[in-house]
Amino acid sequence: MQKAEKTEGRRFFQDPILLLIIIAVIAVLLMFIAYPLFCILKGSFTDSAGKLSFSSYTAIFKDSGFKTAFWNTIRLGTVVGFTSTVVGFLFAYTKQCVKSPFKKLYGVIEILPIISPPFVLAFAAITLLGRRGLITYSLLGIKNFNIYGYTVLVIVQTLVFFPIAAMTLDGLLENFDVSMEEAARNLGASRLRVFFTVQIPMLASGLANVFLLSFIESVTDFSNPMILGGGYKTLASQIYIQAIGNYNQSAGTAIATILLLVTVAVFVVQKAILDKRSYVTLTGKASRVREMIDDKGIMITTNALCLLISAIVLLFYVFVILSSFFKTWGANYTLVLDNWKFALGLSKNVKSIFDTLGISLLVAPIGGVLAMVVAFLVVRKRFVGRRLVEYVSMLGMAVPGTVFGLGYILAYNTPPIVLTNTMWILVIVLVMTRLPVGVRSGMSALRQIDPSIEEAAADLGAHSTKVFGTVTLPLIRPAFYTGLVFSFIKSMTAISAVIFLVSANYNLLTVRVMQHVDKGQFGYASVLSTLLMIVVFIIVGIMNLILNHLGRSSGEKVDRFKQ
Amino acid sequence: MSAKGLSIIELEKVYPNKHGGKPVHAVDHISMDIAPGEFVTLLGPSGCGKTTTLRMIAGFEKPTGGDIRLGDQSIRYLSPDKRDTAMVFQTYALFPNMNIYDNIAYGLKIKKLSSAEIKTKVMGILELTGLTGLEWRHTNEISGGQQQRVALARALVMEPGVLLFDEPLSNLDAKLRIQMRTEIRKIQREVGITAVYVTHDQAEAMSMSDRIVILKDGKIEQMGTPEEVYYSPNSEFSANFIGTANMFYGTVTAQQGSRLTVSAMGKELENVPCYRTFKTGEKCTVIVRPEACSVKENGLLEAKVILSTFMGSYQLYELDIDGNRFTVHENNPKNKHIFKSGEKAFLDLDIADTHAI
Repeated sequence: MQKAEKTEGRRFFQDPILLLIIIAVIAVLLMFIAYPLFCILKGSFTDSAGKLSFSSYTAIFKDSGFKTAFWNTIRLGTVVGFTSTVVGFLFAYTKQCVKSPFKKLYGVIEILPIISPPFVLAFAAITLLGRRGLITYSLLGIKNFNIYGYTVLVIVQTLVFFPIAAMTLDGLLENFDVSMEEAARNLGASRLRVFFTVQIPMLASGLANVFLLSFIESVTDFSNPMILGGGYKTLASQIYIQAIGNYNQSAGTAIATILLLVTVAVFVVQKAILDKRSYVTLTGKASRVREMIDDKGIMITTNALCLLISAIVLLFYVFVILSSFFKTWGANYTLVLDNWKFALGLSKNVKSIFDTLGISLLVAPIGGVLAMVVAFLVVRKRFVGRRLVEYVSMLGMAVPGTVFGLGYILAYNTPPIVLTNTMWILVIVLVMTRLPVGVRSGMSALRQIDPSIEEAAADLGAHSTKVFGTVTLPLIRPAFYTGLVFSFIKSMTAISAVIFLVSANYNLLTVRVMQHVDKGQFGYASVLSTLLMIVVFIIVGIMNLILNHLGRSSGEKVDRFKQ
Repeated sequence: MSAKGLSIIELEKVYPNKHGGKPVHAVDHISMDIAPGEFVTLLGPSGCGKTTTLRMIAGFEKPTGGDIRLGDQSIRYLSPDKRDTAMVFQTYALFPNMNIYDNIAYGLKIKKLSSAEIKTKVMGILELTGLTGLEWRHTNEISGGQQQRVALARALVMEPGVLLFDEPLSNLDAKLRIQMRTEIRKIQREVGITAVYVTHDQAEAMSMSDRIVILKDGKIEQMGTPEEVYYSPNSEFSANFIGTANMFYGTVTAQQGSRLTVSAMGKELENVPCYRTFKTGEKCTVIVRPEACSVKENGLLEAKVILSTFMGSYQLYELDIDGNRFTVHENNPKNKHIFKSGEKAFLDLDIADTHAI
């Protein structure tokens, strides 16, 4: 074993390009993921004079506001984790197991929150149910209806986060071996009994995983509690309010550290659950095509529930768009172009559109290539620091956006490296926050490709970078392209990290929307939200067209290799 | 044991064609009667309708026509859980969230037997299937062969009217497969249960069955005991599907009862066995198995040796006779003259070992 390690080591020095790439990747990950987090830790453990001190913590622990925010966050995360899992399972089950003519619609409903900014639903909730909301004020005549707080926050976060749960569970149910259910039916079990004694127990670890994912989503969520929280404060938004609003760096860093502890702990538990061999993957693949349940009672119940939720989501979206045309919200619902003229008349807004687009178009390829390189190194190469690369690149998954944002300010606002007020700080933070997803999909794509294909190329005389460029990358092209589109969308819609890092020089659309909401300018906010969704929609459409054109042949090849 | 007879009457399964073409007849008016305690194998290539038929018996697929009767009751419209059938799945389909004991006891608990009764039955079946001592293991803590036994035990313990097997041995390695097929047959005989077994492996079908049903394109090609289908295949398909067969084509010149005179390859072959009436001048195919032929210095037909391979228990010859290929298995070749490829030789056979279709 040791001998093998040694030859491996020697091979590195024969391949200086690979060595350089590894060093560069490690440097980038340490600089832009590890170092900002270290700065937060450092900030939280030093006093204003720069000496080691616990004063930040003693201060916030004395503060009853912090305790409330902490328990608020945990409570919200737990409840939303649960509701998102339940609703997500309902959607996934209906899509995968029940006969339904609406499956395409459910698919669209699952996609919508993923391609739109995270605060769109919160914002729609205010326009519909707020003090001057269309339903509460104009239709029902309720004056001063209080939408802000826990209940509406749970509802909106559930609507925003259940699609991710549904998509994960979709995959699990799709791979669920039908013969398990058939065996139980064959032994005399009723459908309900099969559901509770076979399906649910077998999906338990998957459901737990989805619960924890949704929990993380909820506790790291910044924009919904900012918009809808009202008096219900949570940690993620408190970081921003303390550090930026109150200029209280010590409280901000201490809260950030505690939130980070919570999410990392949950993330570790989640990873442990995933690493335990899951029942569903035990048999590898589903043995035959599932026959959809056509029992009337089940069909009607599940579809009715899914349709109801779909209708609410759609209503919210429609009203985001419509409210950009209303003359005066809450008073005059004539459809006019006033908001569009005013909103687009502001040069700040126009510039932010181009900034957002330009930055996102930069982030997508940079992030995509970096993710694939990291995935390739982690899966295929053996080198000192491989584990470090894997863990640090995955760490982003557990780090709340607000923590990242604060960390970047602390790390790059002062010499030696000053990046604040530049475009690059936005590009880098977006690349790093999206990195885990890209790395993970790259890793799973790579693991499905027989290493002997790459070995064959090396055997024929190709060196490492050549193998990567001519064999590996073409084979994982579909994962790469999906990663490109995904990181573009996420850059366009990101808010939590970038809100710390925008400047007079570079502002982003999402941040502009928040600023308008903050001032109560809902009309302008909906103009920019609508515009943002349209731009995402168009660019994603164009990207898909191009990528389909480029990727079809190689995509088919990979499918063939998988078999 | 409550073994029941199974009748399949004009059973039909039609799938609509997804591409807008003609609907597909997966199972095309199949009928058969299976006696209580009988072991019947459905044999055929993939897509012949054997699995669909089995799944219709279990209730996982709905027939588009015909009827299935178990004992004296039609089960066509019963849901799978209400049918007195138990299936051994290809993937075993053991519940990974339960241990071996709970897997086997699953159906009994649904029947609401007392836990003492369940224990007796489970322990009995564990002993019968050679699994005693493994009951508290998890499904991923036992070998493939043992998982196979658990799947069998879980079905057997239900004492079903009919036991269904869906290619249960296809995930085992060759040696274990041979061992398990003997064992399954032994257990089935011991408990006297009715069994329908689906496979595409002819050796499995031959070694286990009371009767073999050869299916092709959703229809029954031939049905009979292993000896019948092996010695008297009624079509080229059956002949080729079970074992290897040599065929040559000729013309009937005369018929006397169940014997034909056939003119083939420039010879008049007399007393060729047959099972139906032929017209004089009718084309026919004469079938003979490779082990019924031998290669000699003198004999019936002159041949050229194309290939001569030592296979241990036999010498494998490929012969060319007048442009026709012939396969010969010369058994126990140790003290026989071995012809080399390229040599001239003669094919010899006993006409009584052939038959015409």
